[in-house]
Amino acid sequence: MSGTTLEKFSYDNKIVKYFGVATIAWGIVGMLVGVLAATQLFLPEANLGNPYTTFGRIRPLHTNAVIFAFVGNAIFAGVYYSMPRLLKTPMWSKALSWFHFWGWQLIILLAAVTLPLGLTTSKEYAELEWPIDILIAVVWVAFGANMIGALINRREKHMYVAIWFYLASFVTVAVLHIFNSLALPVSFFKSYSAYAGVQDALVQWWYGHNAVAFFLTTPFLGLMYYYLPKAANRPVYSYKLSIVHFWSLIFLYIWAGPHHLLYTALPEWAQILGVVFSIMLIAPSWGGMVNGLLTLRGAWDKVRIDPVLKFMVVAVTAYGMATFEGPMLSLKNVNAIAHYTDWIVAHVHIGGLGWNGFFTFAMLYWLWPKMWKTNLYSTKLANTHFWMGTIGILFYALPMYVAALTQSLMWKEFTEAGRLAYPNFLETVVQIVPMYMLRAFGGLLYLSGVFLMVYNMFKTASQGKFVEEEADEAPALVSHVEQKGEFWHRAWERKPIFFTILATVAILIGGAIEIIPTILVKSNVPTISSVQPYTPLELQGRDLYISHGCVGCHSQMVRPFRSETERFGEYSKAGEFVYDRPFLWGSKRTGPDLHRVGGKYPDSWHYHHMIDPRSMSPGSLMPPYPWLETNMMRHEDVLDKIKTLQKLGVPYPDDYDQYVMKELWGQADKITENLKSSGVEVLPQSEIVALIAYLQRLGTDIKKTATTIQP
Amino acid sequence: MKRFKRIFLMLLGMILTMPSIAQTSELSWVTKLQGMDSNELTLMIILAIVLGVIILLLVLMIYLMSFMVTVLKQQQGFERRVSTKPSWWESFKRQYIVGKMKPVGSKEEEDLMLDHSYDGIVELDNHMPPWLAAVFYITIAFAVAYFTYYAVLGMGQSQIEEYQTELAIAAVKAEEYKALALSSIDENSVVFDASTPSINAGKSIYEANCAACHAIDGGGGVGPNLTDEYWLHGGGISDIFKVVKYGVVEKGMIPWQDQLSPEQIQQVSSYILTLQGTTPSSPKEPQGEKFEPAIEEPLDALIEDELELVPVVEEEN
Repeated sequence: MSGTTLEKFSYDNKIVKYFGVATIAWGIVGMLVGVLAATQLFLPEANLGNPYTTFGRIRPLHTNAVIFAFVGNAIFAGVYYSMPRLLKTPMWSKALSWFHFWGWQLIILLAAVTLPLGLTTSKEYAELEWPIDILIAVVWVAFGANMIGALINRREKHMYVAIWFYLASFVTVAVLHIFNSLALPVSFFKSYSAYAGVQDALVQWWYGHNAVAFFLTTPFLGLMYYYLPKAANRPVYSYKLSIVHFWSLIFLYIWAGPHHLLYTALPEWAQILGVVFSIMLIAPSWGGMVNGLLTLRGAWDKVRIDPVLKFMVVAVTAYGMATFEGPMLSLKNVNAIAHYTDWIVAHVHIGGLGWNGFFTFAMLYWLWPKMWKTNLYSTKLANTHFWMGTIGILFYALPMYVAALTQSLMWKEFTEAGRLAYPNFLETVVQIVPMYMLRAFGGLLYLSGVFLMVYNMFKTASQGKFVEEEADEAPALVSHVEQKGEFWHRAWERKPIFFTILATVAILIGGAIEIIPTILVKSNVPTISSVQPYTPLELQGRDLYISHGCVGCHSQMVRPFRSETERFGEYSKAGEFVYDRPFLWGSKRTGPDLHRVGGKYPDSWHYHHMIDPRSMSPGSLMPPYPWLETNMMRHEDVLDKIKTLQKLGVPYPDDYDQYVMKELWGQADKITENLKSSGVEVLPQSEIVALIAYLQRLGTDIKKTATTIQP
Repeated sequence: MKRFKRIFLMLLGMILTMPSIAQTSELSWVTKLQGMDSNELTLMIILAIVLGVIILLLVLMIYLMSFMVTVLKQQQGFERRVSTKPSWWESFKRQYIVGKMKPVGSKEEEDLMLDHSYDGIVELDNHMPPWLAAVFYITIAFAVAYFTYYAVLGMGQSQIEEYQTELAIAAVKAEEYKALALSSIDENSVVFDASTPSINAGKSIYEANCAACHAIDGGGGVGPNLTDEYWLHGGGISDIFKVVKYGVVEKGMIPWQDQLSPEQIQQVSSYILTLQGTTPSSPKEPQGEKFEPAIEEPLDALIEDELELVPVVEEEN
């Protein structure tokens, strides 16, 4: 092709710089909030005495900040640098790039304001309310359009493996986000999930698990396939392995969500699918690790001196560890021990701190000197950062494993007399408090390392000169000439639209097979005739429970184990949750399960316990909620809520609006009277009355009549 | 010690049962192991370690011998050079575990290079490592077998069946335990036990659970004063036992029967009676009616009587 002329174009480094700076800034914010949350677990006073910085609200703030702000911006920085270079064309539209950047920062800012205010759906990693959800969808689609536009303009005939991962991530996150966020708004700040109870749980963990898969894993595998061979200057080990592990990973991952719901009221066939698909994920996940590590063959001498490669090696290894641990945790007998404990917290932090954090650091240490045309200011500082981070991870994870095993065994231990050895839940919490201190120290160490990086990157930038537009040239894409014997996958790689459709089909199958029957087939959720919708006051109390993030520490799902039914009461049944929008099963028991708490304690106990938990449970880690007594509710919104729920099919009477307020105040007065007889004076419109109403209702419906309708 | 034993057994159980039957392990042989006393267990562990060491030594011996054979052969000037024919292990490893790895930077590696480059990144066309493929096939086989066993054939226990099995085992144990004394103290058979160990145990139960509402010295707070002679629900040992056990939920007293054993309730009820007549720092006003013991018997005599009747069993843990 001697006649081909080279076309000139340039890459936009400025957007990469912006996303990179946002990564670090939000990373520090997110990790700081994490350290604060970790501190509150041994020092409840660290909630600063107000609802906005109390654990239940800053835990979602922490998870959202590190996942979507820190890792999210890192993905975008990495993609906006690598993708144009792999396709030999700039991103499709600069305007779209900036819309994407500012849109995403706006979303994060809105999250940082709304979550502390208690505006939340409480669905894990999808806490943001519906207007922000719509904004996320719009910005995400802009990101996708920018990528697809670049693909159409590309000068490189084939798509490199990194691009496959970017495309699959884009498509899947869009699908997950839209279907999990479906809800009916009550007002601008409040909505009810389109799904209830078991179905909501399944959809949520289909989303939640695959947020890990397609936001924290596949985009980073894409980044790995670009930055690791670049930094090591070695060829990628195996093209065949890339193909096998890409397709098997995206196809299998989507099925694994139910492993978050083992031994719950989720239909067992779905649980079994969750188990087997998690096990099958080992090899495809390891495919990424193996291809990464074997690419370093012949570059191990460089790993010794280059901090970028050091970070990458630990990141890829942490990825391998986490993706082996995950399937093991999905086995029912291991899950029976690990679920609801700090084991899961340790597991996600191996992935988060090790894989995502370390890879992000490696990428930034590599990008900065490249974009400023200089060398890294200090390799020594970067190495110090590496060791602080590594030791930080160990200090984080190891105490959590000890805490988890200790607590889980205490939960399950029986005396010879056949009673729980530790019937008081608090005893099992107090035991692991020292581990919580070590964990906070580990987190702090990891965060301190990041500050070294900030300084190093600042110095690097100031000693170099930023190249805003990097010029490059390449021949134009010639129309395809049919080749004999072209490898089938090679052909797919030059058809981006076809490739994207195939990937979409691959990720839709698993979700569809699990979710559609659970929603449509009635026998999956056997109804219980005595289960009734919440009264208006209980509904208000439930929304308070959601707003305060109580689900962050308290599950509402008693599993069918003797150690749980002895401790909490009858195990939870699928039919009990049909009016729960959203479901509140929870994923961690820092405090006891509350599904059967209704009627267990008198109203006055709840009052004293909410105002000052330690007065009723000495040594408790629960923060006090004195504001529940002074905050007043006017309950003006309750009618709108009832109407919304009616639209979703909750069988409230048709003429309920005639007497709903009367019923609400009636119940509030009754609780106020009851409290008064125990010497507690509160106003019937105070928040605590609504919350007590909800707590006393929890799990009591099946006690009313013993008749349950079996499928 | 007990906890370590349990952790050890749990880990052992997890590791050994993980790949096979994922559900019933906790109930089967681990339970048997847990039934052993610590001497038997120590013996088992020592045996296991010795066995492990023996196997390790054997492997080492075989390795040393083969090494010596090669060295000897070389010394005796064997014509055939050893390196030309790799050992069966080498070829097995190359065939089935690591795969044929080409030396870095060699001509063979260059031959594997695919003829494209993306922003300078090139790819080799190596095969997938055989061990990884093997892991993939094994996990798929496991998945198919597991799914068939539990979901298609329905041979595995469902989680509710597992739960019922667990309850059944516990019920048998409970029967056995009932045969022993002391397990069945109730409001009819409860006695005032003034022995020092019992009162001390009662005191610590009280401080951990009751002091929040009744004050550390029994003077009352959220709950009534326990030091005066006035009682809302009766002041006999049986009355107190009943109130502690079942609670008086409408007035704010929690039932403790799920959290405390009958012996513990007897201990704490006995301790509460010893508070009678003491002077708390800030006593709550008397509530209820003045309680007169039904039997006008000197209290001391009663204590002696009961002491003989009730053997004091030390608390476990």
